[in-house]
Amino acid sequence: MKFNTIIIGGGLSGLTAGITLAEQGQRVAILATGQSRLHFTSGSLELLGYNPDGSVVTAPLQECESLPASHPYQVIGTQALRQFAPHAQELLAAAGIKVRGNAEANHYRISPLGIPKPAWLTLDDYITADSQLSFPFRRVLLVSIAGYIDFPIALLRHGLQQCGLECNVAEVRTPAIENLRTSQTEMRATNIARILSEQAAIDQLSVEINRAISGEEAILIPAVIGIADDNNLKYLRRMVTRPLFCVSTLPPAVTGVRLQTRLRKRFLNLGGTFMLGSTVRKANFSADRIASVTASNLPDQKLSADNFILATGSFMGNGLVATQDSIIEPIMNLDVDATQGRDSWTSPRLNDPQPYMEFGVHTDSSLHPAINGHIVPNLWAIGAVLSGHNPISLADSTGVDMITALFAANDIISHNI
Amino acid sequence: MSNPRNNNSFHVIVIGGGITGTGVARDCALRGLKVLLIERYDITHGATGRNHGLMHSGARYAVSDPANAAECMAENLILRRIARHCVEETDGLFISLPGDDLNYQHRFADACVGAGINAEIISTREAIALEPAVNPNLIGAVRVPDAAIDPFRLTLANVLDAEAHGATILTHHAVTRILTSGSATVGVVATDENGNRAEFHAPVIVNAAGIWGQHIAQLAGVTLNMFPARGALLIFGHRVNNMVINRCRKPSNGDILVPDDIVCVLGTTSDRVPLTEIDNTHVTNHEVDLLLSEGVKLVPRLASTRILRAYAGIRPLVAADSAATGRDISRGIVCIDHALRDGLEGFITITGGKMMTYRLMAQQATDLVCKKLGSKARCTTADTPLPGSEPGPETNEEDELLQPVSFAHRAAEGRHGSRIDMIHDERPEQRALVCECEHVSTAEVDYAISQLRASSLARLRRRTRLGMGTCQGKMCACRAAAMMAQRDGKPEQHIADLNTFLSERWKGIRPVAWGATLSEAQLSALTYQALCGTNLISSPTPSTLPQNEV
Repeated sequence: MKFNTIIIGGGLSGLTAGITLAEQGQRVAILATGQSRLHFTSGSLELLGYNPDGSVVTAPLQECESLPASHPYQVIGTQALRQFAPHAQELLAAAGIKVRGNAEANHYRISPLGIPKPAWLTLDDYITADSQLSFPFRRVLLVSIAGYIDFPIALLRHGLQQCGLECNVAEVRTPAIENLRTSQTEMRATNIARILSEQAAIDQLSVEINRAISGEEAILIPAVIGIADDNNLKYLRRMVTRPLFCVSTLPPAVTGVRLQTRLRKRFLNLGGTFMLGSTVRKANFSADRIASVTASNLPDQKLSADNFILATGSFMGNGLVATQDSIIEPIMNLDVDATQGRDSWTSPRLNDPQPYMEFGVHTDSSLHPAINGHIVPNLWAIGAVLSGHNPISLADSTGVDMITALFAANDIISHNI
Repeated sequence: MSNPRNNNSFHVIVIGGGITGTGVARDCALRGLKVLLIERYDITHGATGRNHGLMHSGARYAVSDPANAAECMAENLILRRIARHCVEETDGLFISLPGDDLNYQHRFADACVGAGINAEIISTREAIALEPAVNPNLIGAVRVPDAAIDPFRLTLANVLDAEAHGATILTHHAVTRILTSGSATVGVVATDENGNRAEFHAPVIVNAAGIWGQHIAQLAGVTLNMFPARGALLIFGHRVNNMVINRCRKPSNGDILVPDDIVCVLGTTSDRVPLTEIDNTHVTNHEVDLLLSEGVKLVPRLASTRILRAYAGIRPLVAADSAATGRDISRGIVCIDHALRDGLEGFITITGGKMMTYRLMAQQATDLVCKKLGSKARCTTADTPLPGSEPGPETNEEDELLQPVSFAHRAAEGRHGSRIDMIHDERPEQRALVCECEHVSTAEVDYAISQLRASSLARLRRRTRLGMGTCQGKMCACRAAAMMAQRDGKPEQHIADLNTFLSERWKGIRPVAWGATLSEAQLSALTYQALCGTNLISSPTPSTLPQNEV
């Protein structure tokens, strides 16, 4: 099988690159293992949430300028960041994902514990606050689903109160959801979302919510509706008597699954090939260029392409592997930026920035990785596998995913014209 | 024997909430004494919560200390009766590997038999059939009646019975002064984590503070030289062995692997540490690498098994000589009447020994207490089952087939024994799992909050195993924190506690943070810090910690 570009990894960065290339008419394959960090996300994307000194970023585009030179935004140049940030929003819109926000100014999302965190883009149906942390309402009804324990309602309520909201709690039960309860582990977000994909189940829910409403100005519900699309969520919003917004839950994130589903659909509609369950074990080189890769589920096939993109993620995606004494990139043994000695990988205090978070593949300014110092000219590394960024202390992960993906895809296109 | 006058007066004050102290409190309470137990943190905070969970047959000491070995075996048989819900009868193997001296094996087996331990040399083929995880290159094996015991459960059962017999358990209070009158101790000053002080009086004080006993003795003005022998251990992500596996040689590093519920524990090291280091339970990379290199010789599969965490405890050995490691110091019981030794009336130290012999230690200490108080009450702990291990109605298998119970119900029954009746899981939402790894249901969490005073995640973990399994609290910690906040209406305290709990877990994860363990740590950070924002929560001040439980 021969493609223009093969992308290793089917998460946010891989899909973003795949869509961009397919939009330009390329023949693209994405080889994905299945799990994605999107399944553990909120309903928001982040470009840059905090400065290296820990202060909150209000103007991400501006404040990116003072990031260290090793940060991916600096590696590709902040001019590229300004160029591609609006593209990211357009790409999401084209996939049917409606978001609010912009790269000029952060707003706040609300965490499952009710803690406000700076965000770049947030799904249209989520609760957000502006940069001054003010909401368009004061009194809210917080709806919980009886027995659904991945929505930490007592903690969330406290957090929302700290944000200045008056918060009443209503616990609702509906016959459709009660059915789930017969199994001990079924009350999870994605399972509830499956039940709530029936319009009749939404009808039941809206009746209960409307019954619970008294003087509140808005309704907040856990984000457990809409695993494939947001049609039923829109329907529920029409059926209830107050404006309704979602709050993110503990994983699995229904919205993250939806995001991935919408992006994958968009990629497939553009003619892309998405191969699930394909863990790439090995790359085959011809001189300094990659000629093909071999995947676990197609051991006899050499999957060839002109260009390759590495979007395998960090440690949790197995894009990086830590042995007892070293950090490696497992497919091609690419050069990585990491410190020597296990002691230096982590900080003793959990909440201090952890050095291992910044470990990753070292690239040149075009995102080409190297092997023993020799650049691989037809390989680009994007997203979490890159070194120099920190999804926790800087809150930059989804931004790095999308911006580096757009950069690499455009670089490929400009060289292939 | 006089009756204590008021709420602050007792017959006896026990210092230390480990297995020894709680055992003494129980024995004293069963003998009709009015008891106060004071613990600086939570029960099992010290060596009791930081060991193998190995129920020795005594075989390990048969060669070096036969008297101690015989004591272990006798207590082993007693614990199987009185604490059956804390014991898993696994049996154990002592294996010899290429290069080991098989003459030692024969000496070992003979010494065991001499100490009354039913040890049997078996063929290597039989050993592999009994325990498939064992190194297939073994050259010899001895089967012994070792078992696994849950130290948290055992200590909690002693607390519950002590309380049921009128004892008062005061946790999160440090003894900061010992009061004397003339040449006798008469009471203590206890200080809580906010610095509030309270005075308690009793004619007898039992120092059962383990390695911290030296400090307590100092407060009483007497000298006690402890030998802090630090032991580090590793917990693996699943249970690879079903029997206790020991190396048949002179005790050394990393030569015991104990199955523990759904995981297994490898240990230990033994290094003398200065007394100033006894509160430092940080495990070094060197200790991890040493344990692992020895452990894979016992069970090769450990090389590819994820390590969940590393921890260390300090053995409360009594200094006998200038030994470098403490391996040669007797594990025998040391019960000191300071009236005889130092002319200080009313003060007793009970130390040395092993978790295995805690009941006997408690008996000896309580005998001495009674003697001082002029009580003739006899010890009944060898025959009185602990709460949870009372004989229950025989379960009828046919009934179980008709009314199947959930896995979580069975797990809870394993943890709480006959007290399972106090866990109400009749309604479906009460059966919802909070901790999937250890099968802890909402009902069990509710029981622990209301009946076992699990007011923080750490206390809940020690009482239910929540957060001890494969995911190390990735999902359950937040669920449980929210449940606690719902019950007591103190969300601010429980959000801070969640952060504290995760930070505490990190200390044990950090020394083994490579491979899948590092990937899981990253996932946990993305969930709790990136998604939820726990890293933005300020650390708890002492005033938000669980308080006075009198």
